[in-house]
Amino acid sequence: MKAVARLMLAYFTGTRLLSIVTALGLVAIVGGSAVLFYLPPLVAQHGLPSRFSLAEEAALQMAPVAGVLCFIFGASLLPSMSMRLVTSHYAYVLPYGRVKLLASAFGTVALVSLVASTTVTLFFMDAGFPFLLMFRRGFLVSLTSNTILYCVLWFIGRSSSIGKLLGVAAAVATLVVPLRYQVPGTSITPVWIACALLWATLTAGVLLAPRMKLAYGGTRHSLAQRFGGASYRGGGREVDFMFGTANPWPLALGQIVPIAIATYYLRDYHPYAADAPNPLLAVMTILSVVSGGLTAVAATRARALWLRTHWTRAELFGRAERAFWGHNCFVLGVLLVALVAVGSWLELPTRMLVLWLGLLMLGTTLSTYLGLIVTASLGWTECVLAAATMVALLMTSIYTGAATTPPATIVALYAALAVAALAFRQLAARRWARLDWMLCRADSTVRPAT
Amino acid sequence: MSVPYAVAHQLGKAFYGKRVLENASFTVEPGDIVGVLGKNGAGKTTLLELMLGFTPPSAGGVELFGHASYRLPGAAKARLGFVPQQDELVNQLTAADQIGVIASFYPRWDDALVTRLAREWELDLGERIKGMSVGQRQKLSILLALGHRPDLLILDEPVASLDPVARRQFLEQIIDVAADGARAVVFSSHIVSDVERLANKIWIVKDHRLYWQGDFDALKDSIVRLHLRAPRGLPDTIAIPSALSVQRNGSSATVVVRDWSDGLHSETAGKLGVEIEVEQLTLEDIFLELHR
Repeated sequence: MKAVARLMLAYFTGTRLLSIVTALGLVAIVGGSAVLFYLPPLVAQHGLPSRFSLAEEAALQMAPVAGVLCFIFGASLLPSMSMRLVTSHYAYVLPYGRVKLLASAFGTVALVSLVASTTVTLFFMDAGFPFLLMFRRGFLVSLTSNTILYCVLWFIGRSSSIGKLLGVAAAVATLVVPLRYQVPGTSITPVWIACALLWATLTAGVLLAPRMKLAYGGTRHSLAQRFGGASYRGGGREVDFMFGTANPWPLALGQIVPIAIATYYLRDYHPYAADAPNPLLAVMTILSVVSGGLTAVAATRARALWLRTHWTRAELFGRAERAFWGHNCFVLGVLLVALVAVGSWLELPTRMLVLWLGLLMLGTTLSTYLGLIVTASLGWTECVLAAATMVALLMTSIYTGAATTPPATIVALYAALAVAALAFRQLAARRWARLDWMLCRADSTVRPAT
Repeated sequence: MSVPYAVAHQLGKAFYGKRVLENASFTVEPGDIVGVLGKNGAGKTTLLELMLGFTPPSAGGVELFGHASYRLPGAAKARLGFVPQQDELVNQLTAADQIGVIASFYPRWDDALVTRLAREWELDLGERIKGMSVGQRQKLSILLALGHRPDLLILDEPVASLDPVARRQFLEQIIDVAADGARAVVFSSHIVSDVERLANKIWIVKDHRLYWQGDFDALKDSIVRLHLRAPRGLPDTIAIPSALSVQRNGSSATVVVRDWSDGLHSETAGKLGVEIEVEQLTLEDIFLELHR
């Protein structure tokens, strides 16, 4: 029990940033909920005179939601740290190591979900829903969503740091799917099944890891022997091999799965107002930045090329830019084709589709140069720029998705994003010109932890 | 007679048909400090990992504290410490946080020992692990393995990243650990002088077998260099049982032999008609002769 509690504490407070985010989240949840609870009339639902302006009301209502998001992000060390320990020798030599690590992971997700579901229940308390029913649904939906979220964080965190940030955004989008089950009246059975399957898989993965590793190794070995033994079949140029951009197809085609899921769930979406945001475009926008985020590893990987070639740092930047564009063009191309296909199926207006295509191209461009800016470990500048870019892109997607937005506004927003992309490129080129590999050292032995 | 902490019988391991260790039988008893020597790829790490239960054996078995190592219960694991070749620390944490996390798994954790060692080894516990040098990370890994005062400490090349001062401090600490006679240490190293200084038992892994094992003194007595002198000339064939190498030089020769004994001395001298001078070898010489 002590180990489980200590692990959970470390997930929330392992770094100074996470401690601050967690604390801020708790303050926002408790403070915001208290305000909502004790200071009526917040009259959105009451129809009574309010002591607050509409803007103040909106801010007050958003406080607990922002707090929940902060609390969820506060435990973002959970996936990388627990998987680091589970895949290390500690899982073997620590007393009851695997069981305690698994318990700490479940405990953390359950705690986060408990906080989220309590907040959501309080939020809708005045709407007349039965308290327990709302809470139970909220907890189950949160548990499922947060489990998916942390899994996504881990998967993306394996490749790069900026990917982790993007992973948060992508994972938030996945919340759309389970959240529809929050509404009373819908069947909760699919969420139960999904949650049970998720945790059964995770439990089996953690507890049976050594056996699975052996079985996997044996299968891989026999397949390699059967098919000639070569493990790398990427081919292509050395630059692409070094940067990892030789084979864009897994990512390019992999996007189709979330697009299909989002389209399936959002096919019946009808905006309640003409200026309402379109969630499908938000999902597509998030996907457009994923491939760009991979460029965050370029600076680290460029060292090997610098040692092997006569290129200067400035020339290396050019090579990296070309290599990653060569990769990202395929990924973006598939995304654009998917958007056109989905748009045709959903019979979206042509004007809207054209605008959406433009936004996706801007998303990939911005994130590509944002990734190239990362020439040292992730600092405040990079975090702020990444967060601001995501907010700007999502805000633009809201305006673009709304039928009432004037075309001039959209063009102005796109122009601003294009200027930002050019500025990012300039900044990246300047940073690459004085690239210091002591500050962006590759460390393969500790990769899962970053 | 004390109960052995580790017992292996005919232990073997093969990966996908390729043998990496075979027929290893050994015991580790309280008070033992076992130095494991072997060339790269000889099977040292496999031997240690089999002992720890990281992987199931392909043949035979190994028991730790009376349990099959592959299915070691939690209570037995609490008596075990391990330092891997490459550390597996969590980069984002500070050293103190990492210690706190690992300490929470053990029912008994010696905070005083950890604090003292950290001070002596000049390890800043407030520093983030990501910013630590390789040597500092290795020191922290060793601290984490020592903190619960394990009965059996297994170290896989623990000093490879340490500077000479830290290495010496580490060796002293290992001697301290084993000083009460109730604990045992098994460590592999390429630094033969360290093994020589520290170990009271030696295991030599060669060609995927536990080629030699026993007390260090017995090893030194067993493998010796013989200087043969024959005023009337050496015979054409110098037939000495268990000779590892023979170098002729006119009327004299140098022979390194295994399993040497006083009985063999007089028998060989009489049979070959030579005078024999026996030279004790250092552990490094023995290791080199065995791998010649």
